[in-house]
Amino acid sequence: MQRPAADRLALPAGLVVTLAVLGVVFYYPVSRVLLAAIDPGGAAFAPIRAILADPFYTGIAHYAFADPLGVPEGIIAWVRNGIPLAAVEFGLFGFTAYQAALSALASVALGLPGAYVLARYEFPGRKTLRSVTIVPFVLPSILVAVGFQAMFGATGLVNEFLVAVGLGRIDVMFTLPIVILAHAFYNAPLVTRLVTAAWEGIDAQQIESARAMGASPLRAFRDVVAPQLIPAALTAGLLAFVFSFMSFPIVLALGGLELQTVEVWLYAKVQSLALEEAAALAVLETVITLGLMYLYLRYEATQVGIRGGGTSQSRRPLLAGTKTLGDPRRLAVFGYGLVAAIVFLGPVVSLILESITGPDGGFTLAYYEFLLAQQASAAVGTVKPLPAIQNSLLFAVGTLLLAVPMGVIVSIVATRDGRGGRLAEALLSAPIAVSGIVVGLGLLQTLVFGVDVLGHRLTVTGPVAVVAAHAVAAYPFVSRTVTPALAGLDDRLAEAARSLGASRVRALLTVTLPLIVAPLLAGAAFAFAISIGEFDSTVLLAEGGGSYTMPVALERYVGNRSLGPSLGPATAMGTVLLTVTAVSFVVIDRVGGRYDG
Amino acid sequence: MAEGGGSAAGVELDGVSVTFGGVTALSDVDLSVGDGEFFTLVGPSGCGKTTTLRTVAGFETPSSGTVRIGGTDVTDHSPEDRDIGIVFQNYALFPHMTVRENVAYGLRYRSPPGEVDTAERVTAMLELVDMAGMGDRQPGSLSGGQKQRIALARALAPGPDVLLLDEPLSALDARLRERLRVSIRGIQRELDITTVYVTHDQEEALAISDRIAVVRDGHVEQVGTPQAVYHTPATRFVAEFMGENNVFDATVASRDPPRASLDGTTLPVDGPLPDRERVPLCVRPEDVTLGDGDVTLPVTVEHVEFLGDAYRVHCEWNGESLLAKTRREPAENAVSIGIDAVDVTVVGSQEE
Repeated sequence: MQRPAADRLALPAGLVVTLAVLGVVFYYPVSRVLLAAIDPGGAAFAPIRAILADPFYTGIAHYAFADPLGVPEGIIAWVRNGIPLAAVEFGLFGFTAYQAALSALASVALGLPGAYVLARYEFPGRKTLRSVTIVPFVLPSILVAVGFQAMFGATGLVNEFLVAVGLGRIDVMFTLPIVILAHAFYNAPLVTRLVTAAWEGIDAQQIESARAMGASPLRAFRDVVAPQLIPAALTAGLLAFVFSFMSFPIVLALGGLELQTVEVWLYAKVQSLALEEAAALAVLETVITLGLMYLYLRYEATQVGIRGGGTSQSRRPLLAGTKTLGDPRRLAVFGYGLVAAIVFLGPVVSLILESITGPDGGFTLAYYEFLLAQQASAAVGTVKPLPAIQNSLLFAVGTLLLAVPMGVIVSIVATRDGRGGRLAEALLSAPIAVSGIVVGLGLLQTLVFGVDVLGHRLTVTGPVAVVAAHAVAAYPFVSRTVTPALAGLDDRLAEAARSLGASRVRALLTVTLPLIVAPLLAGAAFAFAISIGEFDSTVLLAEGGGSYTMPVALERYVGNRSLGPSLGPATAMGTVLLTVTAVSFVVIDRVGGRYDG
Repeated sequence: MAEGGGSAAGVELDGVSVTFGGVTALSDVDLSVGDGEFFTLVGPSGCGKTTTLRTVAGFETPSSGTVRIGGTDVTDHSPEDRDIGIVFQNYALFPHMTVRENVAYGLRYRSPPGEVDTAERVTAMLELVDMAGMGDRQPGSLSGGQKQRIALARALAPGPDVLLLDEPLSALDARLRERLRVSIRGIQRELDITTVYVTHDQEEALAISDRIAVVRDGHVEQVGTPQAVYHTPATRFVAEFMGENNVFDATVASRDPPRASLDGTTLPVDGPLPDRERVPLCVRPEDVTLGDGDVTLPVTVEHVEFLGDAYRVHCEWNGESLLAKTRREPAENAVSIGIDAVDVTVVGSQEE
């Protein structure tokens, strides 16, 4: 007797559906945007060439595109002039890369000591700390931007502290350092995570072998440990560079009018309906980020199989009684802990404090009353908090329902031998390397405005497009948490189930999935958080309509100066967003906990 | 007991080949396992014995050939449609289920012959493997040997036609391995269930099987009873793989009486010589004695190991190394050893 075809085809069918969804809500819209720049109807690549040859975008490199033959002559003239380095301009792309490189450096500098502490010291709460390093990464970026404003702004916590101790105010708002610090807030924990994992993966016996052959602890570190950490640190730096290169709300809210990156300019071009130029920018940005992601994946592929085996070094206790205070290393760890606490907790604490502090420094609920007044207002175009909360939660649930199955299917494909892994790799990297603005623009231009399919005009509403965009952004994270768990699962378990009469699908449902519930829920929480915090594509898709979310509302309050130059309403809205995000997390954690035991 | 069902359930492989991405894992394997037989596939790691078992189970699809269970062609059947039970080396117990739930799992999809209550069946199975009263335990709380017993109970619970065991004892320590192999054989006899067993351990294969197939590089070298495989190896590989052996390349000296010549020394041989000039001969170390025999060889003792029940004596004779297993320790370095004609086996005399 042959099994009904349905069972054999379940997985391929799921994959086809996933690919179809991705095709409709990601590849098609994005390629439409990118093609608009490559084939605009006139000369091919004309918009891209125009950008490359524009000194505003490419700085000194524009000569190479505008007049390639004149380059040698130009260099000679430049050398004759005495090599005026200061006069060299790098343009928008140059600046974007420059700030991304500085951000990556800052992230590595801030993240590496964290990895050292987590990998080498034992202290109460270490495991918790290790897992909360994921939190900054999923915090809504616009929220972080407002938090940094609340911390470093003219009336922010830092300045109030400086005044209180008799020092002068500092003015760092809308400068490069604040943008870089905010990027480090995001990416340093990423560095910490990746390097900690690499560190814990080093077999202690390798170090012991080196020591037994006469290497001092320092030499053993240099010869055995460092070579295994450097690749992880470089990769993390590369990721930090990519994320900082594409960063949008941070630069938008903290960069002011002076600091512009490709992504912010791209948004401005879309706003002013210069779509061809926007498309050309999108192509160039995507080429750069996809190239870097490719490098990252190449490295990641080489790391598979190196891990595992052996036990990691045992950790030193961080608190060692009276010895603690005399040990310079432990004191350095505490110093770092203080810096980390200020950088990571400061913005969040400032946000909450600012939302209940009036202009005179006293306690006030005026900003929350303002939110209530907005809610009650009948005026057209008012940004109301309640619909924003409702929309956010609704979209997040929708995202969850779409992204989790998609992520699981891609994970199953990824853990199959052979070509499956490569396909999954390509599927998972593309959404990370394509900016949210481009996805949003693509969806706007295709599904929201309508597409002709066999003579029928097909349109989707804003909310559907928002959920689609969120799911595209979220499912790689679901897959990335599920795949390692799935790969670590013994194939024999599912085979045992099948030998006992369970079909492929039954074996998946009764054996495989129950065993990966915890990572599955973590992935779901990820998807939820990413949807709640997503800003880049939402801000485009929610344009003018009623489907704005909490981050979009927050941005509008930042821009709304009706209450004077106060950040108050934004911090109040930010605190609401923070609360809703935190509560959702607790709920997911509780619901998940039931299946966990 | 009526387990195993009434259907005659032999296993047949007919010209089965399996390839993995262009690499041939099995080439043209023919095997026939009788109903109720305990059949063992033995060979070094990577020889294809596990692939053979997985092909019977349906986890690998042959590129050519036919797999039959109980006379039915099951080549295109999924594992869940084959009425098999399988036990893996690492147990593969479902960690999120209790022992009872593990054993009951197969009963969701299949029923043993006759009206059977699930709870009763699970209890009976746990009793069968000597694990009564362990039903509520979590698999994680069991020892390796206990896990293996539960895995066996789980595989047997739905009353499969064929039981497949993939190195079930390899992860256990030596003592336990010997105890469990006796109970596995006992249960197999009690249920009279057709069993295919995979192991790399030749001693285990000899001890447990009705018949053995020695597998090497994706093909079967020899099939036979443990005694046949041990005493009349069909190939030099079988002679050297199944237990310790001294194998020599000799030439035919005379056919009647059978005599072989080894570097000028004439050896009497047990049985007729094949129609070839060159013949490999083998003599088991335990058949080599200190002192005289039908033929007596002067040897140099190079190294002696004490094993407890015997001495393992590494000798050198005429440039050839020779292994002897003796009750007594050799007194000096230069001794005589004796070999009797009946112990000199011609490798491959059964074939050709």
